[in-house]
Amino acid sequence: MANYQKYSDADFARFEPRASAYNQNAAHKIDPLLPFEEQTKPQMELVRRKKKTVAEAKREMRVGALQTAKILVIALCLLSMFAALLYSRLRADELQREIDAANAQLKVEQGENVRLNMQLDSMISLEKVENYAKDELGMTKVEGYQIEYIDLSGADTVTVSGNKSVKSLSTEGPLQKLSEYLKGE
Amino acid sequence: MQKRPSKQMAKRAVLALSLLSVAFLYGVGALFSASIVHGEEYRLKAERNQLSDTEISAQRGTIYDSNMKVLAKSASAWLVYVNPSKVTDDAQLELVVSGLCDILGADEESVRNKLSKTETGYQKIAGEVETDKKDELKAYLTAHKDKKLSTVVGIDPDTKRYYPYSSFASTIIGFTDGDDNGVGGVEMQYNDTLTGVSGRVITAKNARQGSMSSAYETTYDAKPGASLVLTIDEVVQYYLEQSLSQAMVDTGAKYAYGIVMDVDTGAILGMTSKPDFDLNNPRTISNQTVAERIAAIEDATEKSQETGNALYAQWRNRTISDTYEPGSVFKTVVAAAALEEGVVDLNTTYTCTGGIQVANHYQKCWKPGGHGHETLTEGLMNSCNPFFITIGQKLGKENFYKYFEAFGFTEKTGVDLPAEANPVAGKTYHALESRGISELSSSSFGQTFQVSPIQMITAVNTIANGGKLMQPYVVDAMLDSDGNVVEKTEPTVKRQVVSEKTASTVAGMMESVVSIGTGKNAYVAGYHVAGKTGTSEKIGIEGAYIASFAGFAPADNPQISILIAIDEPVGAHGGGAVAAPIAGELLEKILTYLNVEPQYEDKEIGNISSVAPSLINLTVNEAKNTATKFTLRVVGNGEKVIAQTPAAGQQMRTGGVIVVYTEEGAPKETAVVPNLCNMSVSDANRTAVNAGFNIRISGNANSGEVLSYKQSLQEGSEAEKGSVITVYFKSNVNVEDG
Repeated sequence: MANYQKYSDADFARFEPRASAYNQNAAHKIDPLLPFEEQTKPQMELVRRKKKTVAEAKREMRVGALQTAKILVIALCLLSMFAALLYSRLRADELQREIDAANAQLKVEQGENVRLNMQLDSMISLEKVENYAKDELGMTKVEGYQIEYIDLSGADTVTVSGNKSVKSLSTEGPLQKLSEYLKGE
Repeated sequence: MQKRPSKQMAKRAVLALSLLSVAFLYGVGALFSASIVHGEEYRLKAERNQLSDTEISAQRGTIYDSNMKVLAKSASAWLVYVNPSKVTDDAQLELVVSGLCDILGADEESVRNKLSKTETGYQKIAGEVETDKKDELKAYLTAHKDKKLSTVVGIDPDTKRYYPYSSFASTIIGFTDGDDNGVGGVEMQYNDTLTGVSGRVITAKNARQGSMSSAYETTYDAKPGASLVLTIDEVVQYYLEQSLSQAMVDTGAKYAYGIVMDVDTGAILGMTSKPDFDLNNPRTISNQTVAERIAAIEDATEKSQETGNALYAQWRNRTISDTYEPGSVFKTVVAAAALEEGVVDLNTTYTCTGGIQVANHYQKCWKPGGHGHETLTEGLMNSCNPFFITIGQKLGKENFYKYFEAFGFTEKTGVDLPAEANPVAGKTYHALESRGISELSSSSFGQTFQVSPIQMITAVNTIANGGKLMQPYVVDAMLDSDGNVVEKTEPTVKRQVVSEKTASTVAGMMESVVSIGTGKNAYVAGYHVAGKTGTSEKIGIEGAYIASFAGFAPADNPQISILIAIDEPVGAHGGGAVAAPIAGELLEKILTYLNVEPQYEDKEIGNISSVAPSLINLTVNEAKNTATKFTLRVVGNGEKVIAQTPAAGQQMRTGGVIVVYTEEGAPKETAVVPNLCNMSVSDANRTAVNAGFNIRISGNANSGEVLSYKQSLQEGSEAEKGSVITVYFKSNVNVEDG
C-alpha cells in the first residue's frame, strides 16, 4: 500500500507534456492558431441539419438507386460467375464420367474385337481350310511337280518379232540439245 | 486516474493463463505426436481414407509366327466373384448357384462350397469370362432384382489370353495361368518381356467414398508388354504337326516329336511333340484314353496325382526336355570326327563278319552274318556297328570326347525355351575319365548315352552348315506396342567344330545313305536329301524302341535340317522303315513351300513321268495323233477339244489316261478311286489306269522292291477321270539299322 501511494497521481504529473513543449511541436507550428488545450479537449457541438431541397432529395435518391443498382449488378455478376463456375465444374465432371464410360466401353469393344478376330482366325486355320477344300470342295493340294519355275536371274532383254527395225527412242530435238549444251550437261 | 487490477482479478488472470498454457502445451504435444511420432502412420491412414489406388493391368504382348500370324493375343474380359457374407436366405442362394452354373458352366459343388464360406467376403467363381457371358449374367441379376442377387455376385475386369489355333505349336508357345503368368514355352521364357509394367490410377475420394473429378486424379499409364515374333513358320509347323499326328495313328506310337531348323541360322522353323494339348484348355487332358483311365480312379489323392502327372506329360516339350539314345544317327558325328582327325578317309575299308570282340563282350552287328567288305561310305549306308566301333577305337577316348564336347553334347544348346535337359557327366553320358574301351565302343554307334533331340539336330545341322555349330532359337524379334522392332536375334555361331571339307564329305556320305542306304525311304525325287536313320532300344523297357531320322536338304546347298523321332512304335520299329518315310514326305512338302526348285536327274525323269500334252483346240484326230503315248478318252460328239483332264503340263506316267471333252457343258466323267496301297509301281499304275486315273510316284521308286503305302486321293472317294493320284512308295528291304 505504501508503494502504491508512493506512485500517486501527483508523481505521474511529471510525465505529462508541458505546454511549452507542445508549443515546440511541429504540428503546432503549422497551425499555431489552434490552442493545445482545444485540441486535447474537443468541444461537443450541436450541428443543426440543413433541410434538403426537393431537388437535392431527388438527386440523392437517384444516386442511392444507382448505387443499389450497381451493387445488385455486381452481386448478380458475382453470382453468375459463381454459377458458371459451378456449372462448368459439374459439366466437366459429367464429361469426365462420359469419357471414362466411353473409355471403358472402348476397352470392352476392343476386347470383343480381339475375341471375334481370334474366332475368325481359328475358323480359317490351315487345317480347317485344307479339310474344307478337300472334303467339301473336292480339291487337291498343289504338288511340287505342278509348279513351273521361271529363271529370272538373267538381265532383261527386248526381243523384236520379225525383221522390224527399231528406231532410237531418243526424242531430243535441237532446242533440247541447245538447252542441255547451255546447262553444261 | 486508472484503477489497478484487484487481487481477485489477478488471480483469475493467472488461472486463465494457466489453463491456456496447459491447453497450448497439450496442443503442441498432440501436434508433435501426430506429426513427428505417428506422422507416417497417420499419413498412410489419411491417404487410404482420402485416396483410391487402382492398378491398371498392362496388356500382355502378342506372339506372332514368322509371317506375322497371331498365335497368342490378350484382350479384356471379366472376372465373376461372390460375396458369401451377403447371402440372406436359401432362396437367394439357390438363384445364385443356378445362375452361375447355367450361364458360366461353373461346377455346382464348387460354387456351393464357396458360398458356404460365409465368414469371407470374396470367392472367385470364374475368370476370363467373355463379354457375351458377362452380359447374360448381368441380365440374370437384373431379372432377379427383387432377390438382390447383385449384392452377392460381383463382376470385375479381367484379361483373357486367346490362342486361335488351339493345339497348334502348343509346346513352343506355352500358356498363362490365372494371374497372367506364363506357364511353359515362350510364354514362360519371355514372361517378363511379355508382361509389361502395370499402371496406377490414384484418385481423391469424397466424403461418401466416391471418386472425385479427374482434377484430383493422377494416372501412371501401364506400359504394354513387348510382342514376340517367332522363327516358327506357320506352314512348316503345320506340315510337321500333320505328319507326326498321322505317324501316331499309323505306327501306334506313344509319342512322336520333330524339329525343322534353318541350316544357316539355327532358327527353329517348326517344332512339335505329340500328343500335345489345347492351349485354350490346357488343364483338360487331351489324350482320351488317359482321361478315361483317370476318371475311373476312385481314390481322390491318387486321382489328383494321376491328373497332375498326365497334365505335366502333355505340357512337356519332349524335343528339348527329354533325352534318348540317338543310335545310328550318332554315327554321322563319329564319321565327322574321324575324318577331321585323319583317322579314316573315304578309301578306308572294313570287313564286317557280323560282330566284333570288345573287351570281354562280343558285340554283334545288327545284320546277322555281317555286311562283308565295305568302304567308309558303305559302312554309314549300312549303319554297320563293328565298323564304327573300330573307328571309335581308332579315334581314341580323348579325341572322341573332344568332338563329343565340340558338337555340343556336354552342354545345353541354349535354345530360348524353358526346361532344356541338362547333360550330366557320368549320368547322361560317359565322362572322359570313366570312358573305358567298352564305353568308347558302345558310344561309337550311339548307344549307352543320351542326348536331347535338340542337341542331336544341332549337331547334324553343324554338318549341313559347313562345320559351324549354331545356337538354336525360337524368338526372332521383339516389337514394342507400336510394332517397331526393339530387339532382333542375331544368329550365333558357337564354334567351328569340323572343317568345311570334312562337313561336305560327311554330307556326301549322308546323301548316299538316303539314295541307296538305310535312309532310302526319305528319298525325294528332284531334291538331294542327306540323312541318317537311327534305332535305339529304350533303357529299362523291354521291346520299346525309338525310331529316328536326322538329315538335311538339299544336300548340295542345305537349307533345312530335320529330325523325326517316333517313340515306341508298334510293329516295325526301325528308323529307316518308320521315321525315314515321314521325313521324306515332310521334306518334299517343305522344300516345295520354300520354293526350292527340284533338279531332276535323268534316271529320275525317266522314273517320274511324262508331261500331259496340250490338246485344247485340236480336232479329235489331231489330239489322238498328239497323245499317242497316252490312253485318250473322248467325251462328246464335237469336232474340237474344248477341255482336258489332266491339264496340259501335268506330270503323268506314259500310258496314262487323258480325258478330252468336245462339247460345251458336258458333265465331267467321274469314277471311284481304287485302292492303290501295298502295290508295286507297275501294279499301282495299272490299277489306276484301269479305273481311269493316273498316278504320280512319291518316295523312292529307284529300287524294285518298293511298295506303295499311301495315296493322295482316298480309296472309295469319287474323283474326275484322268485325275493324277500321288502314290507314296517305300522300301522295307535293307532299311534296318543298328
